[in-house]
Amino acid sequence: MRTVKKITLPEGHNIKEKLLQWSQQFREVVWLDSNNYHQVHSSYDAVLAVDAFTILQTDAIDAFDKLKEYQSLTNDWLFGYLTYDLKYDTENLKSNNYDGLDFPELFFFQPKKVFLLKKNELEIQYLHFVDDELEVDYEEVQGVILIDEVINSPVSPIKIKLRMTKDSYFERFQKIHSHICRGDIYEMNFCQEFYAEETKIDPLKVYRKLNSISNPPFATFLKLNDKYLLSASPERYIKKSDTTIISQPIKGTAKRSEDKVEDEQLKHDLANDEKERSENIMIVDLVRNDLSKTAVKGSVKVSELCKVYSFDQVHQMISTVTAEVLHTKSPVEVLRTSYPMGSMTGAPKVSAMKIIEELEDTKRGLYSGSVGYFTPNNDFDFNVIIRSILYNETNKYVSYSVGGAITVKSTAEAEYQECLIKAKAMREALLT
Amino acid sequence: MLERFKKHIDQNLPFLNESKLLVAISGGIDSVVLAHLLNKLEFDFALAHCNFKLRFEDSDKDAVFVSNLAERLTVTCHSISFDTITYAEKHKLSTQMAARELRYNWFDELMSTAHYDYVLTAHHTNDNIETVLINLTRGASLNGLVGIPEINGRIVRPLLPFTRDEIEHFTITNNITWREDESNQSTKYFRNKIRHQIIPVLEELNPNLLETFNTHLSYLQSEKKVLEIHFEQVKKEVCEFEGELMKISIIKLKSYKEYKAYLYYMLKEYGFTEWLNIEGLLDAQSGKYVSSKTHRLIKDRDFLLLEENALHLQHSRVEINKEVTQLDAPIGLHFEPVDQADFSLKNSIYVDVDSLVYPLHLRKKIEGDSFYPFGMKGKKKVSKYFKDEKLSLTEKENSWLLCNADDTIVWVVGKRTDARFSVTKTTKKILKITLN
Repeated sequence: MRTVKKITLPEGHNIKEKLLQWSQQFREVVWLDSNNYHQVHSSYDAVLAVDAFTILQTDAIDAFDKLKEYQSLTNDWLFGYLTYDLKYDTENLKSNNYDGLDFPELFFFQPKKVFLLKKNELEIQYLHFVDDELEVDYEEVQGVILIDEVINSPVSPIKIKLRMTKDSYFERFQKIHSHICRGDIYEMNFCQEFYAEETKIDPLKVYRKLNSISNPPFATFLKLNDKYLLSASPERYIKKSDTTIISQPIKGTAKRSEDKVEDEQLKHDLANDEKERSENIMIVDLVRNDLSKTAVKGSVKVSELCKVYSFDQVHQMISTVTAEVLHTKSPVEVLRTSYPMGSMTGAPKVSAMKIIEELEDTKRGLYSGSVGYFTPNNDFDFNVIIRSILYNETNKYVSYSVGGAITVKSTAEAEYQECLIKAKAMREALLT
Repeated sequence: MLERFKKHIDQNLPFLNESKLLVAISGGIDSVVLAHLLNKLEFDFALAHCNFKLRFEDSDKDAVFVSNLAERLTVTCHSISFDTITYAEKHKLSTQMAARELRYNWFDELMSTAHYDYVLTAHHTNDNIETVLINLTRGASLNGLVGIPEINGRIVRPLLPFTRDEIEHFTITNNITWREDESNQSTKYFRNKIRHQIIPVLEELNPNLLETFNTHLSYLQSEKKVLEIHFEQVKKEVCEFEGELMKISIIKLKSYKEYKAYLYYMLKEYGFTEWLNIEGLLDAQSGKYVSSKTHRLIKDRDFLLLEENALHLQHSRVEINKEVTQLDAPIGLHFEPVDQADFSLKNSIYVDVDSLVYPLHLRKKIEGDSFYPFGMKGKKKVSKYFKDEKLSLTEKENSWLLCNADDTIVWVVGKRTDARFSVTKTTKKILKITLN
């Protein structure tokens, strides 16, 4: 139904950089970049969707119902996000914590213009509404002169503050620990916010910086008018291709070393770390339970358990859970019954979310939510929004949150240090 | 009597002195005396006689008598003949009600065409006491017990303080003739029973009955006015108005012990007759209602909603041309070409311009209407859709349908778009329609 143009690009093209820069003129932008990871489950190297033809934007009330209706009506490419606070729709848990970012709780749009990149093949899909602009736009993209980051405007000093003091982190950690000992939960993802007020940033520049530090497989640049998400996400939440669902929770992180032998040793240690493995397996168990809600009976499988993958910054332990669903199952139902993703809540899910709401200070919003897309064939792919900077241009508010899973074996000091390590990339992207 | 009559007018009805008057005259003793009194006091008046053709020759003789009287008094005489029986049958009225309706319609017409200020009728104290006793016997509210009003709009009854004896005495001393009304003996059975058998007994018990009656009636009338002021205050407290809609708070109403009386007062002018059902509404389920000819009272949770029947709107139809950007009546609609559709908005729809057939039109639901609701599978009857959406009766009746020239439904306004007209991947031009 869309006008399609396929272009084979020459070797060594820099179309990704050009597309992203060209996209900045639009009100709605979603840019997804796998940074050439070419994993088993990746569909495209990069995807760009701009300029909304139709949009759906809502608070949590009945959000999944509205999304389901919207998705089945448009039956087209839809790009957007789910915030963590949609839990109010799935589990009736409302957040009253602080929110300086003010993002709608759910936002999706049907783009007029879609660009799909796989290796050297660029596929451009335009709605009939704008298909007369296709050629002109492509010429414009090719002609983009990339802004040299060095000569870009000098960085204005940014003052980053902590929403939660170290003392109160330790105090809350103790509370979580006693919840675990009491048996209310056995694992909980506990997050804290870093923020800057009265701050203006150049979103594209900060995104490029953040992406270059981590080179993650689920990098995302999202713009919704005056609101931006700059994400170096390493994690997939869930993907549907045809009738197969896969979910890939990450739990367990180790640093990398320049020294090859040491690096191998770190990787080996992570793979055999009892604490990290148990964190991961607890979440795998939860994901299996979530997927079983929509899966064909007996089809939920763990195809990879606790496999260590190496990224530029860290080694990570990733598991892959798969399931089969019927053709007739609405894709939105699969999301609804597995959301929020277990790796960002803890287990058991509802109990963990209640304690999160009580002990965290910030409304999570898009952080620990998900960005992704639906295809016209009812497939979808969504990531987990972590390692990300959120920015509200109008409110001049910049924020990034980090957290980690706390189990009975965790210690406050080690968890706090892990938070600071995770925060390092965002801090660096903003300050340099 | 002439002196007292003049004094009564000067004191209580002085505006009659400067007005052009029309005397409703049957030819009977009361109206003939009224005409003579006015003539002697040189009022500016004319006679108006209705021949209802109910008593054949007698009716015609009445008409001749009245016309002769007018000649003698040198005043204008308007007269008219009605086929009362046919009219009554046609409008399903009793003969008496038909005569009354015909008479007052004619008076209204005369007053506006011939420029009379007031119509005078010859009701007197005996009529009044009889009326009160009839009402008392049949059961009546305060309104029925305070008697015939002296002034009611443009109808004035200047003989009310005078008794039948006084009027008869006046005819004797002034040598006045009149026509005996035969129907007095037959059709007015109830009134005659009271006149001839009850009042004489009451007069035995109180020889000054009529005088006492007039005095106490005036006390009662002032008390009624005080009560009305109080009723108005309670009404203000209990009722809210939203445009044409009156909302009665059941909780506030029921905080008064005599809440039924207040409710009766608030609703009496709307033509309701089923008072027991209305009382029942207070404790009924939401959605139940009681109708009068012109209005409807609906239970809606903690409120009773009073509104005009929307039936008269049921057949209206408003055309909308392609050039229209803003429609103000019967509902506000704004039309605007846009290049983006926001599915999050409640009161706006986005339609594919190429699917529209102009002129569009707005109309109410008719039997058998169906559409393809946006976001649902297949075709659905509008009535079934309303039911599934749990719309109240009022909401149903207030719902408009925006239709194509070929009558297909584009939008159940404020609710669902028809899927056939919504924006799709192939849409070239989008029209945004907003309810405001």
